Amino acid sequence: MKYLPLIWSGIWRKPGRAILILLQVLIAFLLFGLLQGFKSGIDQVIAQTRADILIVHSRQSFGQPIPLAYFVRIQAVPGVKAVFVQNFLVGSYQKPTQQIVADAIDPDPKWMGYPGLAVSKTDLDALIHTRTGALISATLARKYSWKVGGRIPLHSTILQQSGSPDWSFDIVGTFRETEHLGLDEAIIISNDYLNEARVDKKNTVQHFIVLTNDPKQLSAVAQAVDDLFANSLDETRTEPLREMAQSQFQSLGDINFVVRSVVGAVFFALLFSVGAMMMQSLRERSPELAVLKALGFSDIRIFWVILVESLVLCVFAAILGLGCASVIFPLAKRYLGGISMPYAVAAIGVVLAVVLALISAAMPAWRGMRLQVVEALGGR
Amino acid sequence: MGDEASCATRMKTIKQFFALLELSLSSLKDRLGSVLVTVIGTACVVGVLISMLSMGAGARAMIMHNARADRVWVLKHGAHGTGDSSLSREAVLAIADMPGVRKDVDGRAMAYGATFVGVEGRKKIDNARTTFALFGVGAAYTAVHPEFHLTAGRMFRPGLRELIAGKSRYELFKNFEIGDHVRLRGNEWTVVGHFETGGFFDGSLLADAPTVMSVFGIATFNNATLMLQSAAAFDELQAAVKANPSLDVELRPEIPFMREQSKNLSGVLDFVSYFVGAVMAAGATLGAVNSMYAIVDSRRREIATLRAIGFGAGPVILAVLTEAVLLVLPGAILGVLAARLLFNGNIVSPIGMSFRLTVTPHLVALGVAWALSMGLLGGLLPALRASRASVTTALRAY
Repeated sequence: MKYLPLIWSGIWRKPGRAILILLQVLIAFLLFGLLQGFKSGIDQVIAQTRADILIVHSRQSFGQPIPLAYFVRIQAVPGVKAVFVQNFLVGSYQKPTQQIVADAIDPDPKWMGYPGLAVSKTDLDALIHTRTGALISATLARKYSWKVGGRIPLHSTILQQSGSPDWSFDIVGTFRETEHLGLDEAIIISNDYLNEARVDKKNTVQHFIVLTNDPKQLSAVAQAVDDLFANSLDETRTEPLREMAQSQFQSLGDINFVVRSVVGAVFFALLFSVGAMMMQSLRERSPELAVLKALGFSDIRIFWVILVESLVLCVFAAILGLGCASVIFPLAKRYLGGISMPYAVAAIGVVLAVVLALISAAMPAWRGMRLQVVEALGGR
Repeated sequence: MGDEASCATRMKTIKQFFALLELSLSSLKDRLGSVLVTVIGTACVVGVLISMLSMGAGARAMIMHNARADRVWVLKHGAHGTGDSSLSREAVLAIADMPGVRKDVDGRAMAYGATFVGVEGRKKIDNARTTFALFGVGAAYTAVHPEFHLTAGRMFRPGLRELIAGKSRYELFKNFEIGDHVRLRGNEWTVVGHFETGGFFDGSLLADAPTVMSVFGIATFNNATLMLQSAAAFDELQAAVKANPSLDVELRPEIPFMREQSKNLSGVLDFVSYFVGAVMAAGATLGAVNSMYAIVDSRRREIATLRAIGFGAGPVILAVLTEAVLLVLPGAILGVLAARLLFNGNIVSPIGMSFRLTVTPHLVALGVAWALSMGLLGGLLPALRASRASVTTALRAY
């Protein structure tokens, strides 16, 4: 503790330089926090994805429609707790840039159990009894000042039976996400209506969501479902939601590789920067250090003073940088969905800062320790 | 007289500048630490920036390659791309008959309707799954796309469940060898050929449009593509389309259309690249400032002495700036080399498209410019400080 003033004055010996190096370390950790945070955030989303849900879609590719009639047969598979229909109508509201996804579901009272969504009994009843009904999210209600009782006109490339591309929905209630499902900017409509009204893809669905009784039985249930439709015109592929989330993020590209390369390059450069600064500072201070030694400071104590100086600087700057990253993170929520910066990233960051400080100060500290009083004082 | 005097001053300035520069460069090896900081810092920034931008450049190059001024894509009015467009068979036939559309030697119009469905494949390296397009195309496809050529096997035959695979499909994905069977909608399709276009279609499969449409129960085409008699014939065709009130279509010349399509993909990649590059550059510039300060500080007495014996402030500032630039240049070159060696020609395959990372001369120039601005910014403050060094204080200090 008593060395604190010594270390402190060592850091601020040249304020300009200290601030520059501080900013440099701060920026490096800001970048680290953002990139690593993004990566870990994705891992977190995948890990939080429910493990008891299967998605049944066309074997050929996701998005290829499959028959609605499969619903009953899937429901009869042992281990299946509930089946939910999912279709989509994509349209624009008022202008082409305001895209809205209408998630078409089967408005059944059982639907209350739909994973991740909260809908009140009265709102669900209203949706069941209003053919053109729609439930809206709080986000969209705020964005477009929609109110229950209002109408939502949507212009879509999916045509109605009449050939019209214009759809209209009556707002009958609201829904809330209890898990991140990406439905924040969506409305929920009745699939019965969509199925009847659209001209194409009659009696098909985009996919089924299957809730199972036991996550351990997941692959057995999936196999049983796919066996049902093997060798039919529309074969299915049934896979865990978690695996699908994983492969979806994989298709973004090799995020891991990009993050590792960038962070690697940043820290490699930083190592030299901090190291050179400590070296330079040591050279300038050798007479002072020599005086300390002459006053009775042991070699090892000098070694520690230099090391701790670099530690304090790096860790302080790293914490500032990580703090900035966690402040910026929520701003990017729009692009990243439910991703937030996990605390583990901050912990890894601090450890990295310690490693950085130790490596870059090792050489200067060693030199400081080996300093010869006579040479250092006479060398100027 | 005045001219002579100013000429003499200029000569003196230049002489002083070179003397200063020589002096500082000759002592570089004594300040290896500071030099390394700048060189390595710059190399890292430029290397990362160029590697990341090469993704966007690769995507653009792939999509824009072979794009022609005399080729036109026909979409439904208001469609964003081929995905949300639909054209009836009648519309495609009507457009093929219009003036301005090129005819082949037998008098057939060079125009075809296309439809597509998504198909999944697994990568050879990691078995990762990707969805890509199977295009059903009309017989005129090869006439409209002269850049198309078979690399192996033969063309698919109309009416049969046969398909051919583009270069980046059969090279990167499993089960697209000639003779392999692909199961689509309950039926086996046979891979009968491999093809290359050098551009957009290399990432997809091609098959006969009527067969695809009947198997998948699709009633309409997504789009039509046609060849004009010449790029100038566009207006003629446009007028003919406008004159037909039953056609609700949009004509999109290929070059701007493809550029627009590539923006969706490369726009995101470019944003991320520039963001990371800018943040890294900010850090490395601070590093350069620091090391230039260190370099200037360690030569403080020397510079102050020179100032005292009559060296001007201008040459001192110029010399320090030049030194900074000379330090970042090798860094930039190192970074460019690393990016080229490590990444140029690598194939990445996000979002169902495959393209080669391309380190273009444009990117190299950008990287060097980026480095130079870092050097100039980094050298500015230290240069000003050096020019203000007063001999009395400098000689008193270390």
